[in-house]
Amino acid sequence: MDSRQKNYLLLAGLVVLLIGALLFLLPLKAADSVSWQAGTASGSSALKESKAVIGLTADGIGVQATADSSMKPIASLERITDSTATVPASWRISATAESTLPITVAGAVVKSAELSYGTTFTVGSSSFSLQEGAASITQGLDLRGGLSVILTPKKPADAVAMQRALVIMNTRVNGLGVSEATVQLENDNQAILVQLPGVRDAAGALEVIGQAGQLEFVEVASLPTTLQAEVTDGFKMPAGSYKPFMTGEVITTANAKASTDVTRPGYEVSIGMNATGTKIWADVTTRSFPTQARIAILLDGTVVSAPAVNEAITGGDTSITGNFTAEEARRLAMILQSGALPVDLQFSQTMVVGPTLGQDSLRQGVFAALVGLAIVAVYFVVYYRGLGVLNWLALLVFFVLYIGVLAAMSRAGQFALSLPGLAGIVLSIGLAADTSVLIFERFSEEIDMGRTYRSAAKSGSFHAIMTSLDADAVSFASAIPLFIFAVGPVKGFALTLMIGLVCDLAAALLFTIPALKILAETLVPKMPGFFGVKGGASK
Amino acid sequence: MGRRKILFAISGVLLVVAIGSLAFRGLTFGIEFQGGTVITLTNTSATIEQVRSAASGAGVSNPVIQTTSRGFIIRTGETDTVAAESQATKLAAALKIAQTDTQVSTIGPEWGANVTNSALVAFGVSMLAILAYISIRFEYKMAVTGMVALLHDAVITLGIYSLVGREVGPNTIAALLTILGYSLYDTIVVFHRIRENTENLSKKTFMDMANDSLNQVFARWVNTGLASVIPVVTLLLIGGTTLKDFAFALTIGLLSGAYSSIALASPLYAMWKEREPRYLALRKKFATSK
Repeated sequence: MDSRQKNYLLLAGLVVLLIGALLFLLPLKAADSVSWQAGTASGSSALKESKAVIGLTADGIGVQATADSSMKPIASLERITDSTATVPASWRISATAESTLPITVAGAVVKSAELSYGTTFTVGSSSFSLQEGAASITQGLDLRGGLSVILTPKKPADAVAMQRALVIMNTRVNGLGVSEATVQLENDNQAILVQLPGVRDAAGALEVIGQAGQLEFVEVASLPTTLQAEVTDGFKMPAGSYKPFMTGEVITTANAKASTDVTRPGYEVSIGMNATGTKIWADVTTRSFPTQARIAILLDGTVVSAPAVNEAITGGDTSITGNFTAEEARRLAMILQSGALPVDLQFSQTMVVGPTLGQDSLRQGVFAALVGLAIVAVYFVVYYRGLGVLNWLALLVFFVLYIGVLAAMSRAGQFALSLPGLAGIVLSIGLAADTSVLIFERFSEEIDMGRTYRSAAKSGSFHAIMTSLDADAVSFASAIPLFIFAVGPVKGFALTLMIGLVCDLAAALLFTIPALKILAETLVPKMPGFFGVKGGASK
Repeated sequence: MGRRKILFAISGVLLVVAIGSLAFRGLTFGIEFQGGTVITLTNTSATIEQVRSAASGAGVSNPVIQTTSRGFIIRTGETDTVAAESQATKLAAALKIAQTDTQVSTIGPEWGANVTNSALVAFGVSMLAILAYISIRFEYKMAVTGMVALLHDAVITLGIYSLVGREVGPNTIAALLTILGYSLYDTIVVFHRIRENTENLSKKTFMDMANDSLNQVFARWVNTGLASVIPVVTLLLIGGTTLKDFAFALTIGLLSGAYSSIALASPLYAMWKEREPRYLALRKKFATSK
């Protein structure tokens, strides 16, 4: 294969990569949207916040994204099966609007309701759901708005205790019903990061996260009859509606193990209690087992398990069997053993970002980056002329690759764009422009030294890419420790910088250099003036 | 290169000013390092007096209020998350600012120390990684002079922060660490050329060759410098409050980094190399410039 074929082959490889990148970029939808499925129809509509009010408009169902915006119609009742239906933009929510078809949310007929993502509602016989649309690049909390909290132990805690704290924190956060909430250990297991994107009631959420972690045992039979039926895992008991007969303090051990009882396969949780607990437990189980009454175990008021009593337990040692999986049993054991947080946690950092504020920052950042790019682009064309155009293309290729990689990582849940990350992108664009300049300068220089266009392109790009490799490697080497050791937003910066450097080299090797070599043999000799290399020797 | 003494003098003066300012004025550290609360309000036409009275009404103690293009940044010593959040809510309500246009950050004092320590560790490891890389790929004299230029850039950037009284936040640290990479990027490009020209060096002194190398890469130096600085400067001018912080450090660092690669790293390296016997001999034979 001669070198010319190789250049075209590299360009072909690049085209494949670019198509791949575009595939990840194409669903350029708004981050939040309503989607609906009604019969065969589906569609989506942009939303600004993670909750929306649905209701009736004069002509159909509407979704109101923000308190001050108008009701945005998502489907007309008459045309509910027509996904291409266009509806007047002037639709407003109307108190008098009545539909012959009832809107039903969670079994209740409503005129309007505030819904979280994931909630399904029906209109007549059609089912709708509020979904978060897939943006091509996930936005971090500082851009989307929401609540971010870092909790750290007051005294250094071991990893096991922090793991338990994490499980409890997860239970609490799940109780808040925020979609896409994340709870994870950070900083060498010495911090818990809780992120609640789009949460509106920050103060309420903080209260729930910061609570003590009370484990309580309640006889289901002692509850009002209306509540008894509601007692299932995950149910949040109304405050003051119950009276516990004992708390988690009496539990001494709780372990998950494989069931030894062949009639009840799977995993079970065995519990040990102290003397006080054993006595209370004996009383309660003795009076409960004849009717196989249930006992609800509550963590901070939320039901974590509600087993039925099968026998009177007088020795304290108890097994909860329930066809658990190993994971479920382990989790329940962990909660039982450490309902109260095993470590004393404090808020180390909280950040509450209004969604508009974050979006403003993003818009300004993107605008600034575009203006910067435009100025650089104009400068390059004035200075390098034809090669400046090639530089544009090189930057474009770099940019598509770069954003494509970020979008792919985003889809895999490995990347969310934050403000420092955005700064990393801006810096990477600058470095990518550097690489092209290195190549073009060296190319012109070698022509001035009397080489032919062809050999100048070959030798020039070789020398330039070696320089670039070293310079990029040094920047990369400085970003790695940042990514590994730094905490918080700096990590996002280091990550975008590292990916930017790799994409920079990829764009140079796959596009700029082969393209320059091809041009040096074809167009450059025909119009050296346009490429600003007049002094070159002819081929 | 012949004017290296002037350049050294400029760097010397800048360093003295920077170190002097750091010693006497010190740095203003953000709440991230000492704990406290920052409340950001946007989209408001309230006056600073209104904000001040609303703040005291909301129970905010000793607020430092700063105006931004479209709102205010209020800093307090409050480290209790729940209290800070309720103060901010009251404040926003009193000023009739929508909850969606506010941001509240609260940071505990220990966490701040934690962030600083991890940044310092990251910095130290970065330095070692770079020293090792340049020593292996090039030679240790380049690694050392490159590092001198780098520290020069870091000190000058921090000095300017101290001089203008700008607050040092985690973004500043991130930017400083980037400068570390970028300053070297520029230096490496020059060193690359010097090394290339060293291969067949026999007709002139090392210093003259280094000088020629600088002239050869000068156009590239100007163009790459501009290409990197322009986007960052636009970010500084129109990028919004949070990004401006970042862009400020990056702009100074990039300018200083570009300057030091030519004015500091290369001359220092050339002076050091001239002391090697091989190049001393060349010097005796061809010495024309000082």
